[in-house]
Amino acid sequence: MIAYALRRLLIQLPILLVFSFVMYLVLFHAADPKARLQQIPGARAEDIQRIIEQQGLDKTWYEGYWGWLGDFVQGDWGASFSNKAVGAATLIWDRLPATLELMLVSLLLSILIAAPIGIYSALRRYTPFDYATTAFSYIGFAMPTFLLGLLLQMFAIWSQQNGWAVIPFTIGLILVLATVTTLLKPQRSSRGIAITAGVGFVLIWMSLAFWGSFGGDGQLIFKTAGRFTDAANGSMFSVDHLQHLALPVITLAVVNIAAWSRYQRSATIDVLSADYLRTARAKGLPERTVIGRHALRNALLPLITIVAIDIGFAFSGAVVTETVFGWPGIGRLLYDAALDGDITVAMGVIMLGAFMIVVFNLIADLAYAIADPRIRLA
Amino acid sequence: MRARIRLATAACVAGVATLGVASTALGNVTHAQDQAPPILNNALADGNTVVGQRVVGGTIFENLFTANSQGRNVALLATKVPSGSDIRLRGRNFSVRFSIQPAARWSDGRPVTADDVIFTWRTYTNPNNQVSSRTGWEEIRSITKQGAKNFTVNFKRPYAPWQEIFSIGGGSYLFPRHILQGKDFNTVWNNGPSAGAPFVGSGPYVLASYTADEQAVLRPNTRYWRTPKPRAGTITHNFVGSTTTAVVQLRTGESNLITPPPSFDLFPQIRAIANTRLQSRSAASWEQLAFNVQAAPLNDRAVRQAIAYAIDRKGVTTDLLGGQVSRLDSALVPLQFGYKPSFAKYTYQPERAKQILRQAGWTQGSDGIFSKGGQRLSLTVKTTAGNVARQRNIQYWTVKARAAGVELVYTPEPASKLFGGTLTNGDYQVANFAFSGSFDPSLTSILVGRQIPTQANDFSGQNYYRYAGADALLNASDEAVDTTRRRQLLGQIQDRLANDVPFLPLYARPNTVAHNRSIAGPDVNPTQAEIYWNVNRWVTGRS
Repeated sequence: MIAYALRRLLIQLPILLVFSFVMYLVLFHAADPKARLQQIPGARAEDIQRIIEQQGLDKTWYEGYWGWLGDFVQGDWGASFSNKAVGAATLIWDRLPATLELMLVSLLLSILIAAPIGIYSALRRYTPFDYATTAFSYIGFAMPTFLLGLLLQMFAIWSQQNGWAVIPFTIGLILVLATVTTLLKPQRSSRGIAITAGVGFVLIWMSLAFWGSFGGDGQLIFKTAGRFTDAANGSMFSVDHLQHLALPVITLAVVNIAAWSRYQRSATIDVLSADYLRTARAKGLPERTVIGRHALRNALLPLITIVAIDIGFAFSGAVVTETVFGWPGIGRLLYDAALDGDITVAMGVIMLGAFMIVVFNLIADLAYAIADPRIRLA
Repeated sequence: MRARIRLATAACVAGVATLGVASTALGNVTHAQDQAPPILNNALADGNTVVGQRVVGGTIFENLFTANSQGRNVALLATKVPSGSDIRLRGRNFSVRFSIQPAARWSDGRPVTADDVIFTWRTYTNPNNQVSSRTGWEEIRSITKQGAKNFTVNFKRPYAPWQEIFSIGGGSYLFPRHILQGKDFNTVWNNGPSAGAPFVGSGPYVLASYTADEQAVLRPNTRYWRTPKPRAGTITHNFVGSTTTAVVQLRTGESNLITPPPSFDLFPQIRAIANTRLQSRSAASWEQLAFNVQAAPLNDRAVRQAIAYAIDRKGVTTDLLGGQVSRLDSALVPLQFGYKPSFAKYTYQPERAKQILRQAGWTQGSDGIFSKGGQRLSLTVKTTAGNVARQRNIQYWTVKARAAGVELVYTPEPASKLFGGTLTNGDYQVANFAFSGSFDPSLTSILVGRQIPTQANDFSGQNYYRYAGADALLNASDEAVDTTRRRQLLGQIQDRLANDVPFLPLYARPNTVAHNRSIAGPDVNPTQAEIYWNVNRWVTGRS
């Protein structure tokens, strides 16, 4: 397995090299650092010319790329174009914890929600729950991230004055409507439906009865930007931090859940029709054991791959979400670097992301092989 | 109640008569900024940003003068703005005598002296330092001390914009010699204080903490040398990533002050926020249509004049921009010294435009567009992609200009391409972008011949126009230290520009601030002194 892993990594090196070349070329022309100088108030031609010479901005793209590559392979990521006091690696390293926190929390939340939704949808195909989650998935797919972020910020403003009882109220309403439509099918009467309807009614009643207790007094529940109110002394385990974390995490999680729940549903449906499950049932195993012990393990395999690859993407940050919510992470660093023409920082972020995607693709393959003994790595 | 009385008494003592707010306790300023400064040293090319200026300018760092809300320089670290016998001109020997306020001191308690001025001059002109601009500083031949607090600046030639060098309004500050001497100016203060170099200024606030890309917190300078001393609490700059988020923060109360860009769609949204005051004032940055005078058909002055009559400038300000800005009729804005509305004659007159074109040999085709020698008068108007205001404006003018027989074609380009090649290579016919000059009316930085992009200057500069005698006239105005003479020369320059029409000024972009009414004192400033120019007079209370 180690030999396989090393071989895979070696194969990826030329791809990373070509990728770095293409990205440098694109950045050099799209994020010209000289264009930024033209916009300095009152800067004259002689000032701009001097700065170009002082900062070595008069190099051709191939001189720049060759110099960057030579340093990069030796572990020197270069100095930031826009902050000579720190190296690109330091800037990236400083932003990495914020990004990893945001991405990993949203990934974890997404797994915890998407997997059960996908499995339950597959087991209860063509029920109102299945239709509702399918509709949610389509909306989640179609919704641009920045729009979702803005809508959540709008909700934060609305809830500040009107409270957030609307959340349990809506959940309760969905549950009641789901059970009503289920009851329309005569064979679908069960204790589960009664419980669902009961929970729904309780949520609606509680929301209406105690509407005023669910905020609405002008206190802001969800913070709309930043990571801490006091960045220098903020604690990751404070309520303040959770208030800042909530909206960007939900924004990212909605997209993930929309996608992953569909993958999980498809994978579960495939497994449910497999021969070995029919055999298990024929042997007289209870349905709960058939699903829990035999179906789920295999049904979760595709999700492992997807999640592992997405963890790799986490190292590139979430440019849009971090920008909308002022989250000081890698994605926003990349965005700012591109705007400022800071090629060394932008290349550092891009290459880190590319490398991590390669690594986590490999990890996904290895995990797949461990989880499924039928797979042999060659 | 007692706190309220105490606050009111303090305000009266300090001479602030117009608080206009029922303050119950001193509060903090939380400023949501749409971007983060790359570094905190605003004097460097990498740090010369408006965002950075707002963090350090007038709050932490000061200069001999600052500019008030009318753009006029007023004494700050200097005892007065030199005048009369302080200014000496003998032949081409020009010098100005200054005195520093006796009480002026740095936040570490050391006095501000002439040595700091000399050090600052040497810092700006040091060939190793990557400062954003040496404008004015390199005009200084020497600085001679007459004691610790008095000095004379001797210029290499008569230099009319001398006040700009020593004003926060010009975007520069004094630096403490005792802290920065021997340090690498290109790195020492990029991230605030560094080893052996505390972030020491002379302003009413000091840097309490700085987290790059996230937040800068300023607290009152307890040693501030001037009265009134700062009476607001802390100033927290939150770098929130976008203008939209900044407005959201003002609505939620997470911030109580924002400085939005001049996006006119945003203003009604901000005005709708309860208990919020929106202020804007025209700055020395103005929108224009630049004509490529080196290529046909715009190398013909008659064509440029015709287009100036075919563009409805006032219509845009009233119909699209809701009267929030006024038409600009000069290369200077009305608050600037020497402003003369020479372009005022170019009102929207399609018939006049047609008449000029016919006299120049153009004939109107069956589609209503003029042509000459087989060339239709169809002009591409290049501008920055994604700028909705510019897109709407050009579309508006396109419809209006058609009535004058001129076709305009909106052509967006990424800003990096427009400023990084298109303009410098002359690859355009008409371009819509903003000129940002100094508040001093010197026009040499944008119009003098050496600002024309050439191989020799690495295609820098933003000047694409040259007329006979321009350099002589522009340089003469820069050397006219006598204000009457300077006004006269500036008037000639503006008249000449209006006659030649190398560009058509449209409207000045305003500096804008919106703040909760619990903050009393912000008075928007048209110069680089920005919003915090009078921060020591601000009073914050609960709304």
